[in-house]
Amino acid sequence: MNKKLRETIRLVWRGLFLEPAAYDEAAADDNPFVEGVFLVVIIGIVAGLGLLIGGLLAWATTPDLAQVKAILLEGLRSTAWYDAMRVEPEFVRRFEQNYELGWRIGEFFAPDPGQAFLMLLLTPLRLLVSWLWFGLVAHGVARLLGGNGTVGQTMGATALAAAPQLLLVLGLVPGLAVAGVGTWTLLARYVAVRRVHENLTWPQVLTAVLIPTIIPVLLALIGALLSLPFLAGLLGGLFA
Amino acid sequence: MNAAPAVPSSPLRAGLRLALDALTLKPEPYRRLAAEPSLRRAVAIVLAVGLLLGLVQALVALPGLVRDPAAEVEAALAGFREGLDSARTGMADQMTPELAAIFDLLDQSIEAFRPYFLRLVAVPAPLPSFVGRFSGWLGDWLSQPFALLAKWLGISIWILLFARLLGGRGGLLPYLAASSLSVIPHLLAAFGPIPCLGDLLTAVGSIWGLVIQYKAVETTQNLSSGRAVAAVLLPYVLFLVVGVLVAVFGVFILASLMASA
Repeated sequence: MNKKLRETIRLVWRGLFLEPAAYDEAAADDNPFVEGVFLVVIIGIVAGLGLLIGGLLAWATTPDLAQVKAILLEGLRSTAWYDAMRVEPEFVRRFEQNYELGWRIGEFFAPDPGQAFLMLLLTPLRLLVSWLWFGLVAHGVARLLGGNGTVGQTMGATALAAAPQLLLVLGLVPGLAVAGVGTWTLLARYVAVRRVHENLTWPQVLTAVLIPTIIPVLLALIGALLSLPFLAGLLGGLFA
Repeated sequence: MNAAPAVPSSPLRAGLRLALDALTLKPEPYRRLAAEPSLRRAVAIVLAVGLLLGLVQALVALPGLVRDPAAEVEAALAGFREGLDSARTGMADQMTPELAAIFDLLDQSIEAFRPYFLRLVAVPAPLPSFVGRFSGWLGDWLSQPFALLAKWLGISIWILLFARLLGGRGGLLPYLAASSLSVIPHLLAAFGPIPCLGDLLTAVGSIWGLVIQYKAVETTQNLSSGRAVAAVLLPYVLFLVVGVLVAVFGVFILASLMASA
Protein backbone atom coordinates (compact mmCIF):
# COMPACT_ATOMS: atom_id res chain seq x y z
CA MET A 1 0.00 0.00 0.00
CA ASN A 2 1.32 3.42 -0.81
CA LYS A 3 2.77 5.38 2.10
CA LYS A 4 0.47 8.39 1.70
CA LEU A 5 -2.66 6.24 1.77
CA ARG A 6 -1.36 4.31 4.79
CA GLU A 7 -0.74 7.57 6.67
CA THR A 8 -4.19 8.83 5.71
CA ILE A 9 -5.85 5.66 7.00
CA ARG A 10 -3.92 5.97 10.29
CA LEU A 11 -4.92 9.64 10.60
CA VAL A 12 -8.60 8.87 9.92
CA TRP A 13 -8.52 6.05 12.48
CA ARG A 14 -7.09 8.42 15.14
CA GLY A 15 -9.57 11.10 14.12
CA LEU A 16 -12.42 8.64 14.52
CA PHE A 17 -11.47 8.20 18.16
CA LEU A 18 -11.17 11.95 18.69
CA GLU A 19 -7.41 11.99 19.38
CA PRO A 20 -6.67 15.73 19.68
CA ALA A 21 -3.18 15.32 18.12
CA ALA A 22 -4.73 13.91 14.93
CA TYR A 23 -6.82 17.08 14.51
CA ASP A 24 -3.71 19.21 15.12
CA GLU A 25 -1.93 17.27 12.36
CA ALA A 26 -4.83 17.69 9.93
CA ALA A 27 -4.93 21.44 10.66
CA ALA A 28 -1.17 21.85 10.32
CA ASP A 29 -0.97 20.25 6.85
CA ASP A 30 0.82 22.28 4.13
CA ASN A 31 -2.31 22.34 2.04
CA PRO A 32 -5.18 21.52 4.42
CA PHE A 33 -7.93 22.28 1.90
CA VAL A 34 -6.65 19.83 -0.75
CA GLU A 35 -5.84 17.29 1.96
CA GLY A 36 -9.37 17.83 3.33
CA VAL A 37 -10.97 17.12 -0.05
CA PHE A 38 -8.86 13.95 -0.31
CA LEU A 39 -9.84 12.81 3.21
CA VAL A 40 -13.55 13.46 2.76
CA VAL A 41 -13.68 11.80 -0.67
CA ILE A 42 -11.81 8.71 0.60
CA ILE A 43 -14.19 8.42 3.58
CA GLY A 44 -17.17 8.96 1.26
CA ILE A 45 -16.03 6.31 -1.22
CA VAL A 46 -15.45 3.71 1.51
CA ALA A 47 -18.85 4.45 3.09
CA GLY A 48 -20.48 4.53 -0.36
CA LEU A 49 -18.99 1.12 -1.23
CA GLY A 50 -20.55 -0.36 1.91
CA LEU A 51 -23.91 1.20 1.05
CA LEU A 52 -23.62 -0.04 -2.55
CA ILE A 53 -22.99 -3.64 -1.48
CA GLY A 54 -25.77 -3.40 1.14
CA GLY A 55 -28.19 -1.94 -1.41
CA LEU A 56 -27.43 -4.66 -3.95
CA LEU A 57 -27.82 -7.38 -1.32
CA ALA A 58 -31.10 -5.88 -0.14
CA TRP A 59 -32.39 -5.82 -3.71
CA ALA A 60 -31.21 -9.39 -4.36
CA THR A 61 -32.97 -10.70 -1.27
CA THR A 62 -36.26 -8.83 -1.84
CA PRO A 63 -39.03 -10.90 -3.46
CA ASP A 64 -40.46 -9.77 -6.80
CA LEU A 65 -42.64 -6.83 -5.70
CA ALA A 66 -44.94 -6.98 -8.75
CA GLN A 67 -45.90 -10.54 -7.76
CA VAL A 68 -46.30 -9.54 -4.10
CA LYS A 69 -48.57 -6.66 -5.11
CA ALA A 70 -50.78 -8.89 -7.27
CA ILE A 71 -51.07 -11.72 -4.69
CA LEU A 72 -51.81 -9.28 -1.88
CA LEU A 73 -54.59 -7.62 -3.87
CA GLU A 74 -56.07 -10.99 -4.83
CA GLY A 75 -55.90 -12.09 -1.20
CA LEU A 76 -57.56 -8.94 0.14
CA ARG A 77 -60.36 -9.30 -2.42
CA SER A 78 -60.98 -12.85 -1.22
CA THR A 79 -61.65 -11.86 2.39
CA ALA A 80 -65.00 -11.60 4.16
CA TRP A 81 -64.06 -8.03 5.13
CA TYR A 82 -63.80 -7.02 1.43
CA ASP A 83 -67.14 -8.70 0.67
CA ALA A 84 -68.77 -6.83 3.54
CA MET A 85 -67.32 -3.49 2.46
CA ARG A 86 -67.94 -3.71 -1.28
CA VAL A 87 -71.68 -3.16 -0.81
CA GLU A 88 -70.81 0.52 -0.51
CA PRO A 89 -70.69 1.79 -4.10
CA GLU A 90 -67.67 4.07 -3.55
CA PHE A 91 -65.61 1.51 -1.63
CA VAL A 92 -64.05 -0.40 -4.54
CA ARG A 93 -62.88 2.74 -6.33
CA ARG A 94 -61.38 4.25 -3.16
CA PHE A 95 -59.81 0.97 -2.07
CA GLU A 96 -58.03 0.50 -5.40
CA GLN A 97 -56.92 4.12 -5.49
CA ASN A 98 -55.42 3.91 -2.00
CA TYR A 99 -53.87 0.52 -2.71
CA GLU A 100 -52.11 1.95 -5.79
CA LEU A 101 -51.00 5.03 -3.84
CA GLY A 102 -49.63 2.86 -1.01
CA TRP A 103 -47.65 0.73 -3.45
CA ARG A 104 -46.32 3.76 -5.29
CA ILE A 105 -44.98 5.15 -1.99
CA GLY A 106 -43.65 1.70 -1.03
CA GLU A 107 -41.89 1.18 -4.37
CA PHE A 108 -40.10 4.50 -3.90
CA PHE A 109 -38.38 3.08 -0.79
CA ALA A 110 -37.89 -0.44 -2.16
CA PRO A 111 -34.28 -1.59 -2.78
CA ASP A 112 -33.13 -0.90 -6.33
CA PRO A 113 -29.73 -1.50 -8.01
CA GLY A 114 -29.82 1.95 -9.63
CA GLN A 115 -30.26 3.63 -6.26
CA ALA A 116 -27.50 1.45 -4.78
CA PHE A 117 -25.02 2.60 -7.46
CA LEU A 118 -26.16 6.17 -6.93
CA MET A 119 -25.08 5.89 -3.26
CA LEU A 120 -21.50 5.34 -4.41
CA LEU A 121 -21.61 8.75 -6.09
CA LEU A 122 -23.90 10.58 -3.68
CA THR A 123 -22.17 9.63 -0.41
CA PRO A 124 -18.82 11.37 -1.19
CA LEU A 125 -20.75 14.28 -2.70
CA ARG A 126 -22.97 14.61 0.38
CA LEU A 127 -19.95 14.49 2.68
CA LEU A 128 -18.12 17.10 0.59
CA VAL A 129 -21.08 19.52 0.64
CA SER A 130 -21.63 18.91 4.36
CA TRP A 131 -17.92 19.50 5.10
CA LEU A 132 -17.74 22.72 3.01
CA TRP A 133 -20.90 24.11 4.60
CA PHE A 134 -19.90 23.18 8.14
CA GLY A 135 -16.25 24.20 7.83
CA LEU A 136 -16.93 27.61 6.29
CA VAL A 137 -19.87 28.57 8.53
CA ALA A 138 -18.21 27.25 11.71
CA HIS A 139 -15.04 29.15 10.81
CA GLY A 140 -17.01 32.35 10.19
CA VAL A 141 -18.81 32.06 13.52
CA ALA A 142 -15.60 31.14 15.37
CA ARG A 143 -13.82 34.19 13.90
CA LEU A 144 -16.75 36.44 14.82
CA LEU A 145 -16.44 35.16 18.37
CA GLY A 146 -12.72 35.97 18.39
CA GLY A 147 -11.23 32.62 17.31
CA ASN A 148 -7.61 32.70 16.17
CA GLY A 149 -7.50 29.81 13.67
CA THR A 150 -7.15 30.26 9.91
CA VAL A 151 -9.71 29.08 7.38
CA GLY A 152 -7.22 26.48 6.05
CA GLN A 153 -6.68 25.05 9.54
CA THR A 154 -10.43 24.89 10.18
CA MET A 155 -11.09 23.17 6.87
CA GLY A 156 -8.26 20.67 7.44
CA ALA A 157 -9.40 19.75 10.94
CA THR A 158 -13.12 19.62 10.13
CA ALA A 159 -12.42 17.31 7.16
CA LEU A 160 -11.01 14.79 9.62
CA ALA A 161 -14.23 15.16 11.64
CA ALA A 162 -15.98 13.26 8.82
CA ALA A 163 -14.18 10.12 10.09
CA PRO A 164 -17.23 8.72 11.99
CA GLN A 165 -19.06 8.58 8.64
CA LEU A 166 -16.76 5.64 7.87
CA LEU A 167 -19.06 3.53 10.04
CA LEU A 168 -21.63 3.75 7.25
CA VAL A 169 -19.53 1.09 5.49
CA LEU A 170 -21.31 -1.36 7.79
CA GLY A 171 -24.41 -0.67 5.71
CA LEU A 172 -23.13 -3.58 3.62
CA VAL A 173 -25.22 -5.77 5.92
CA PRO A 174 -28.85 -5.16 4.84
CA GLY A 175 -31.03 -4.19 7.79
CA LEU A 176 -28.10 -3.02 9.91
CA ALA A 177 -28.98 0.39 11.33
CA VAL A 178 -25.72 2.21 12.12
CA ALA A 179 -27.09 4.63 14.73
CA GLY A 180 -25.03 7.27 16.50
CA VAL A 181 -22.95 8.41 13.51
CA GLY A 182 -24.47 11.91 13.59
CA THR A 183 -23.74 12.45 17.28
CA TRP A 184 -20.23 11.05 16.89
CA THR A 185 -19.59 13.40 13.94
CA LEU A 186 -20.84 16.33 16.02
CA LEU A 187 -18.37 15.45 18.79
CA ALA A 188 -15.55 15.14 16.23
CA ARG A 189 -16.45 18.56 14.81
CA TYR A 190 -16.40 20.02 18.33
CA VAL A 191 -12.90 18.63 18.90
CA ALA A 192 -11.79 19.94 15.46
CA VAL A 193 -13.00 23.52 16.06
CA ARG A 194 -11.70 23.48 19.64
CA ARG A 195 -8.20 22.47 18.50
CA VAL A 196 -8.01 25.12 15.76
CA HIS A 197 -9.53 28.05 17.66
CA GLU A 198 -7.86 27.18 20.93
CA ASN A 199 -8.36 30.66 22.43
CA LEU A 200 -12.17 30.28 22.47
CA THR A 201 -14.06 29.14 25.56
CA TRP A 202 -16.10 25.92 25.33
CA PRO A 203 -19.48 27.70 25.03
CA GLN A 204 -18.07 29.74 22.13
CA VAL A 205 -16.80 26.59 20.39
CA LEU A 206 -20.17 24.94 20.98
CA THR A 207 -21.90 27.95 19.40
CA ALA A 208 -19.59 27.77 16.36
CA VAL A 209 -20.36 24.04 16.00
CA LEU A 210 -24.10 24.25 16.58
CA ILE A 211 -24.96 27.16 14.29
CA PRO A 212 -24.06 25.38 11.00
CA THR A 213 -25.69 22.21 12.37
CA ILE A 214 -28.95 23.86 13.40
CA ILE A 215 -29.49 26.10 10.35
CA PRO A 216 -30.27 23.20 7.91
CA VAL A 217 -32.57 21.59 10.52
CA LEU A 218 -34.43 24.88 11.01
CA LEU A 219 -34.72 25.40 7.25
CA ALA A 220 -36.10 21.86 6.85
CA LEU A 221 -38.61 22.46 9.66
CA ILE A 222 -39.75 25.76 8.16
CA GLY A 223 -40.07 24.06 4.76
CA ALA A 224 -42.11 21.23 6.29
CA LEU A 225 -44.41 23.67 8.10
CA LEU A 226 -44.89 25.76 4.96
CA SER A 227 -45.68 22.67 2.91
CA LEU A 228 -48.30 21.41 5.42
CA PRO A 229 -51.26 23.24 3.83
CA PHE A 230 -50.12 22.03 0.39
CA LEU A 231 -49.82 18.43 1.65
CA ALA A 232 -53.22 18.64 3.36
CA GLY A 233 -54.72 19.87 0.09
CA LEU A 234 -53.00 17.11 -1.88
CA LEU A 235 -54.14 14.36 0.51
CA GLY A 236 -57.62 15.84 0.65
CA GLY A 237 -57.75 15.74 -3.16
CA LEU A 238 -56.55 12.14 -3.25
CA PHE A 239 -59.11 10.90 -0.75
CA ALA A 240 -61.98 12.95 -2.11
CA MET B 1 5.41 -17.09 51.54
CA ASN B 2 4.91 -14.61 48.72
CA ALA B 3 1.44 -13.11 48.33
CA ALA B 4 -0.44 -13.82 45.07
CA PRO B 5 -0.15 -10.98 42.54
CA ALA B 6 -3.05 -8.53 42.81
CA VAL B 7 -2.99 -7.77 39.07
CA PRO B 8 -5.47 -9.94 37.13
CA SER B 9 -3.72 -12.41 34.85
CA SER B 10 -5.66 -12.06 31.57
CA PRO B 11 -7.34 -9.20 29.68
CA LEU B 12 -10.70 -10.94 30.08
CA ARG B 13 -10.25 -11.27 33.81
CA ALA B 14 -9.02 -7.65 33.99
CA GLY B 15 -12.12 -6.53 32.07
CA LEU B 16 -14.43 -8.48 34.36
CA ARG B 17 -12.71 -7.04 37.44
CA LEU B 18 -13.06 -3.53 35.99
CA ALA B 19 -16.78 -4.10 35.27
CA LEU B 20 -17.41 -5.52 38.74
CA ASP B 21 -15.62 -2.63 40.46
CA ALA B 22 -17.52 -0.13 38.31
CA LEU B 23 -20.86 -1.80 39.08
CA THR B 24 -20.14 -1.66 42.83
CA LEU B 25 -19.25 2.04 42.38
CA LYS B 26 -15.64 1.71 43.53
CA PRO B 27 -13.83 4.89 42.46
CA GLU B 28 -10.80 3.11 40.98
CA PRO B 29 -12.20 2.15 37.51
CA TYR B 30 -13.58 5.66 36.96
CA ARG B 31 -10.29 7.28 37.95
CA ARG B 32 -8.30 4.84 35.83
CA LEU B 33 -10.36 5.34 32.68
CA ALA B 34 -10.39 9.12 33.14
CA ALA B 35 -6.63 9.24 33.73
CA GLU B 36 -5.87 7.40 30.47
CA PRO B 37 -8.83 8.61 28.37
CA SER B 38 -9.39 6.54 25.26
CA LEU B 39 -12.53 6.72 23.17
CA ARG B 40 -11.39 3.49 21.50
CA ARG B 41 -11.72 1.61 24.80
CA ALA B 42 -14.99 3.37 25.66
CA VAL B 43 -16.54 2.44 22.29
CA ALA B 44 -15.23 -1.12 22.68
CA ILE B 45 -17.00 -1.42 26.06
CA VAL B 46 -20.29 -0.10 24.62
CA LEU B 47 -20.14 -2.28 21.50
CA ALA B 48 -19.26 -5.39 23.52
CA VAL B 49 -22.23 -4.84 25.86
CA GLY B 50 -24.49 -4.17 22.85
CA LEU B 51 -23.33 -7.34 21.11
CA LEU B 52 -23.98 -9.43 24.22
CA LEU B 53 -27.38 -7.82 24.67
CA GLY B 54 -28.31 -8.49 21.05
CA LEU B 55 -26.93 -12.03 21.23
CA VAL B 56 -29.78 -13.13 23.50
CA GLN B 57 -32.39 -11.95 20.98
CA ALA B 58 -30.32 -13.33 18.10
CA LEU B 59 -30.20 -16.78 19.72
CA VAL B 60 -33.95 -16.70 20.31
CA ALA B 61 -34.49 -15.84 16.62
CA LEU B 62 -31.97 -18.45 15.40
CA PRO B 63 -34.46 -21.32 14.83
CA GLY B 64 -36.45 -19.01 12.53
CA LEU B 65 -33.48 -19.04 10.14
CA VAL B 66 -33.79 -22.70 9.32
CA ARG B 67 -37.52 -23.16 9.78
CA ASP B 68 -39.67 -23.57 6.67
CA PRO B 69 -41.26 -20.14 5.85
CA ALA B 70 -44.64 -21.83 5.39
CA ALA B 71 -44.39 -23.23 8.94
CA GLU B 72 -43.53 -19.71 10.16
CA VAL B 73 -46.72 -18.41 8.52
CA GLU B 74 -48.79 -21.16 10.11
CA ALA B 75 -47.26 -20.38 13.51
CA ALA B 76 -47.94 -16.65 13.10
CA LEU B 77 -51.55 -17.30 12.06
CA ALA B 78 -52.03 -19.67 15.00
CA GLY B 79 -50.69 -16.96 17.32
CA PHE B 80 -53.03 -14.38 15.80
CA ARG B 81 -56.01 -16.70 16.16
CA GLU B 82 -55.06 -17.41 19.78
CA GLY B 83 -54.93 -13.65 20.47
CA LEU B 84 -58.32 -13.19 18.82
CA ASP B 85 -59.82 -16.01 20.91
CA SER B 86 -58.46 -14.63 24.17
CA ALA B 87 -59.77 -11.15 23.26
CA ARG B 88 -63.18 -12.70 22.53
CA THR B 89 -63.13 -14.52 25.88
CA GLY B 90 -61.90 -11.43 27.75
CA MET B 91 -64.67 -9.28 26.28
CA ALA B 92 -67.40 -11.89 26.79
CA ASP B 93 -69.25 -9.61 29.26
CA GLN B 94 -69.43 -6.68 26.83
CA MET B 95 -70.03 -8.81 23.73
CA THR B 96 -72.72 -7.22 21.56
CA PRO B 97 -73.98 -8.74 18.28
CA GLU B 98 -72.02 -6.04 16.35
CA LEU B 99 -68.79 -6.85 18.20
CA ALA B 100 -69.33 -10.58 17.67
CA ALA B 101 -69.84 -9.90 13.94
CA ILE B 102 -66.51 -7.98 13.81
CA PHE B 103 -64.71 -10.88 15.49
CA ASP B 104 -66.29 -13.33 13.02
CA LEU B 105 -65.35 -11.09 10.11
CA LEU B 106 -61.70 -10.97 11.27
CA ASP B 107 -61.66 -14.72 11.81
CA GLN B 108 -63.09 -15.51 8.36
CA SER B 109 -60.85 -12.96 6.64
CA ILE B 110 -57.70 -14.43 8.13
CA GLU B 111 -58.83 -17.92 7.14
CA ALA B 112 -59.54 -16.76 3.57
CA PHE B 113 -56.14 -15.05 3.40
CA ARG B 114 -54.18 -18.12 4.58
CA PRO B 115 -53.38 -19.54 1.08
CA TYR B 116 -52.24 -16.09 -0.08
CA PHE B 117 -49.84 -15.80 2.87
CA LEU B 118 -48.34 -19.11 1.77
CA ARG B 119 -48.05 -17.85 -1.82
CA LEU B 120 -46.47 -14.60 -0.61
CA VAL B 121 -43.64 -16.34 1.27
CA ALA B 122 -42.96 -18.44 -1.84
CA VAL B 123 -42.44 -15.41 -4.13
CA PRO B 124 -38.87 -15.74 -5.46
CA ALA B 125 -36.03 -13.25 -5.02
CA PRO B 126 -32.79 -13.18 -7.08
CA LEU B 127 -30.94 -14.84 -4.15
CA PRO B 128 -32.24 -17.82 -2.11
CA SER B 129 -34.60 -16.78 0.70
CA PHE B 130 -32.16 -18.09 3.34
CA VAL B 131 -29.67 -15.36 2.38
CA GLY B 132 -32.34 -12.72 3.04
CA ARG B 133 -33.34 -14.28 6.34
CA PHE B 134 -29.68 -14.58 7.42
CA SER B 135 -28.78 -11.01 6.50
CA GLY B 136 -31.91 -9.76 8.29
CA TRP B 137 -30.99 -11.78 11.38
CA LEU B 138 -27.38 -10.51 11.29
CA GLY B 139 -28.55 -6.93 10.68
CA ASP B 140 -30.93 -7.08 13.66
CA TRP B 141 -28.20 -8.42 15.91
CA LEU B 142 -25.49 -5.99 14.80
CA SER B 143 -27.88 -3.03 15.05
CA GLN B 144 -28.11 -3.51 18.81
CA PRO B 145 -24.57 -2.29 19.66
CA PHE B 146 -25.06 0.78 17.50
CA ALA B 147 -28.42 1.53 19.10
CA LEU B 148 -26.71 1.36 22.49
CA LEU B 149 -23.82 3.49 21.21
CA ALA B 150 -26.24 6.16 19.95
CA LYS B 151 -28.12 6.13 23.24
CA TRP B 152 -24.93 6.40 25.27
CA LEU B 153 -23.37 9.16 23.14
CA GLY B 154 -26.66 11.07 22.97
CA ILE B 155 -27.30 11.13 26.70
CA SER B 156 -23.62 11.57 27.61
CA ILE B 157 -23.22 14.82 25.68
CA TRP B 158 -26.30 16.27 27.36
CA ILE B 159 -25.06 15.21 30.79
CA LEU B 160 -21.63 16.71 30.05
CA LEU B 161 -23.27 19.93 28.86
CA PHE B 162 -25.23 20.27 32.11
CA ALA B 163 -22.17 19.30 34.14
CA ARG B 164 -20.22 22.10 32.45
CA LEU B 165 -23.07 24.57 33.01
CA LEU B 166 -23.07 23.61 36.69
CA GLY B 167 -19.38 24.37 36.98
CA GLY B 168 -17.70 21.14 35.86
CA ARG B 169 -14.18 21.52 34.52
CA GLY B 170 -13.23 18.09 33.19
CA GLY B 171 -12.48 17.22 29.58
CA LEU B 172 -14.68 15.51 27.01
CA LEU B 173 -12.58 12.36 26.57
CA PRO B 174 -12.06 11.59 30.30
CA TYR B 175 -15.80 11.90 30.86
CA LEU B 176 -16.73 9.73 27.85
CA ALA B 177 -14.15 7.13 28.92
CA ALA B 178 -15.60 6.92 32.45
CA SER B 179 -19.26 7.17 31.42
CA SER B 180 -18.91 4.21 29.02
CA LEU B 181 -19.11 2.04 32.16
CA SER B 182 -22.74 3.17 32.54
CA VAL B 183 -23.84 0.81 29.75
CA ILE B 184 -22.78 -2.33 31.66
CA PRO B 185 -25.93 -2.58 33.85
CA HIS B 186 -28.02 -2.42 30.67
CA LEU B 187 -27.06 -6.09 30.24
CA LEU B 188 -30.00 -6.75 32.59
CA ALA B 189 -32.27 -5.82 29.65
CA ALA B 190 -31.31 -9.22 28.19
CA PHE B 191 -33.91 -10.63 30.59
CA GLY B 192 -36.52 -8.30 29.08
CA PRO B 193 -38.60 -11.09 27.45
CA ILE B 194 -39.33 -12.69 30.87
CA PRO B 195 -42.85 -11.52 31.84
CA CYS B 196 -42.93 -8.95 34.70
CA LEU B 197 -39.43 -9.76 35.99
CA GLY B 198 -37.94 -8.69 32.64
CA ASP B 199 -39.42 -5.19 32.85
CA LEU B 200 -38.30 -4.85 36.44
CA LEU B 201 -34.73 -5.91 35.62
CA THR B 202 -34.63 -3.55 32.61
CA ALA B 203 -35.72 -0.67 34.87
CA VAL B 204 -33.11 -1.66 37.49
CA GLY B 205 -30.45 -1.65 34.72
CA SER B 206 -31.46 1.82 33.57
CA ILE B 207 -31.39 3.28 37.10
CA TRP B 208 -28.08 1.58 37.83
CA GLY B 209 -26.71 3.10 34.60
CA LEU B 210 -27.74 6.56 35.81
CA VAL B 211 -25.97 5.99 39.13
CA ILE B 212 -22.80 5.08 37.20
CA GLN B 213 -23.22 8.23 35.07
CA TYR B 214 -23.38 10.19 38.33
CA LYS B 215 -20.15 8.55 39.50
CA ALA B 216 -18.48 9.36 36.15
CA VAL B 217 -19.57 13.02 36.36
CA GLU B 218 -18.48 13.35 39.98
CA THR B 219 -15.08 11.80 39.27
CA THR B 220 -14.21 13.55 36.01
CA GLN B 221 -15.85 16.97 36.43
CA ASN B 222 -14.87 17.65 40.07
CA LEU B 223 -18.45 18.48 41.02
CA SER B 224 -20.15 18.14 44.38
CA SER B 225 -22.57 15.22 44.79
CA GLY B 226 -25.63 17.46 44.49
CA ARG B 227 -24.43 19.09 41.29
CA ALA B 228 -23.42 15.75 39.81
CA VAL B 229 -26.92 14.38 40.50
CA ALA B 230 -28.45 17.48 38.91
CA ALA B 231 -26.22 17.14 35.82
CA VAL B 232 -27.39 13.55 35.32
CA LEU B 233 -31.10 14.23 35.91
CA LEU B 234 -31.54 17.59 34.18
CA PRO B 235 -31.31 16.18 30.62
CA TYR B 236 -34.23 13.86 31.40
CA VAL B 237 -36.25 16.77 32.83
CA LEU B 238 -35.47 18.72 29.64
CA PHE B 239 -36.56 15.77 27.41
CA LEU B 240 -39.79 15.49 29.40
CA VAL B 241 -40.59 19.20 29.04
CA VAL B 242 -39.71 19.19 25.30
CA GLY B 243 -41.75 16.00 24.80
CA VAL B 244 -44.83 17.55 26.42
CA LEU B 245 -44.41 20.76 24.37
CA VAL B 246 -44.02 18.79 21.10
CA ALA B 247 -47.10 16.70 21.93
CA VAL B 248 -49.16 19.84 22.65
CA PHE B 249 -47.90 21.48 19.45
CA GLY B 250 -48.66 18.31 17.46
CA VAL B 251 -52.20 18.12 18.81
CA PHE B 252 -52.67 21.80 17.97
CA ILE B 253 -51.48 21.30 14.36
CA LEU B 254 -53.64 18.19 13.91
CA ALA B 255 -56.66 19.98 15.30
CA SER B 256 -56.08 22.94 12.92
CA LEU B 257 -55.67 20.59 9.96
CA MET B 258 -58.85 18.70 10.83
CA ALA B 259 -60.75 21.94 11.35
CA SER B 260 -59.66 23.27 7.95
CA ALA B 261 -60.39 19.98 6.12
